[in-house]
Amino acid sequence: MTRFHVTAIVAALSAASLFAQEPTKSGLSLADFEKLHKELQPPDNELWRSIPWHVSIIEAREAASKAKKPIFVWVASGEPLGCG
Amino acid sequence: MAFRATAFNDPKVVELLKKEFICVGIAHNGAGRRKDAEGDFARKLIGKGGTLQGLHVINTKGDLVGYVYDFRPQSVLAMLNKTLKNYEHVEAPPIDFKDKDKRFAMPKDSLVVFTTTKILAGHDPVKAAKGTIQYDMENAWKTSMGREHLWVRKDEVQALLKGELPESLQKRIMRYHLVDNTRGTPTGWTDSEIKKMDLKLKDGRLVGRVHLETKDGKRGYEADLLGFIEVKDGKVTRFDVVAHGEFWGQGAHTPGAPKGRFPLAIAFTLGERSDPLYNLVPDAVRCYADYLR
Repeated sequence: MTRFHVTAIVAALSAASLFAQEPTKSGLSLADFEKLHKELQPPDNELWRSIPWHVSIIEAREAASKAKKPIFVWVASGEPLGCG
Repeated sequence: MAFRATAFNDPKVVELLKKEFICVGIAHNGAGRRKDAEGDFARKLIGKGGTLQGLHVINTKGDLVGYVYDFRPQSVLAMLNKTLKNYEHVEAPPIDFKDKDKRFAMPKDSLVVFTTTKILAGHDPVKAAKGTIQYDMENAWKTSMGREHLWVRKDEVQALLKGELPESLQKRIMRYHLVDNTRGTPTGWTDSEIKKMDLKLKDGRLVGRVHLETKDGKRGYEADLLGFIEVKDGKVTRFDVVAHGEFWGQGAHTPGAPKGRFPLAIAFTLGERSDPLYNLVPDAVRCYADYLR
């Protein structure tokens, strides 16, 4: 075995060893997770969410036909009920 | 999000809408692009008010009978009341909606995970005077949570049930859901912009780190992830995950990001089927043809 081969094998083993010693981890603690997950839940009392929105204009049309009511359509660039 | 903080945050507007109207929300560049009955009907009204956006009232034939593009509750109330005063119901035949545009159809047996995004610091203080409509709009712009839905395909659900986190799902989360959507439709990431994607799911616990960055370095997100994906009796029972890290830059449609690097957190929570918005098509589906890849 040449010196080159020995060096290559040692380098490969070192790299593999380093990889094995670096498990996937997160910089977030369980306390961080719990705090952030709670903070990012939408409030229960959002007024706009109390409106019974339809997500399909055809389904809204059917409901309006049965109820004999006009259809209110909020149109936006991007899903108004979902994005932003 | 400005309408949610202004007109739709007014009890009189909301009460009137709940009592007298059937309400729906659509994207002119979503429903308006569909090649099915939904798209055909949406195109009857899109642009009829004078702009592509705004608040419309139509009858069941699709005729526009009221329109306003104004965030002030009194303007919206005035339009609604005027429309009601003159409204006459018209009978229209049912519309066959069996053949839906497959690009916008939720895949069978898929799972819906709700996501919320928040900028935790970095915005300048609101400049407008308190108590004004400008204040409500600027405040909403700077403090609103971004919302989106993550679709998980049936085969990916099966993998989760076996304790695996498929690469296709990891990439969908990276590319379309680790974004700053707090000011509208965000720009996602390309495959080559994923610099690091190191996620592991073990014993129901998801941990990882990600680094996303555009080639020019002007937009990026470096974040840690931690969460819990639990299963029971052949069902995913929990999908609570948080990403937290530093974001920088802004997308093509989301100007107004804080300067420099700022803390951004994103939360994932299993969607409730009883939620009326459960079936909402993710905005990313509208924007990216390869969303479900």
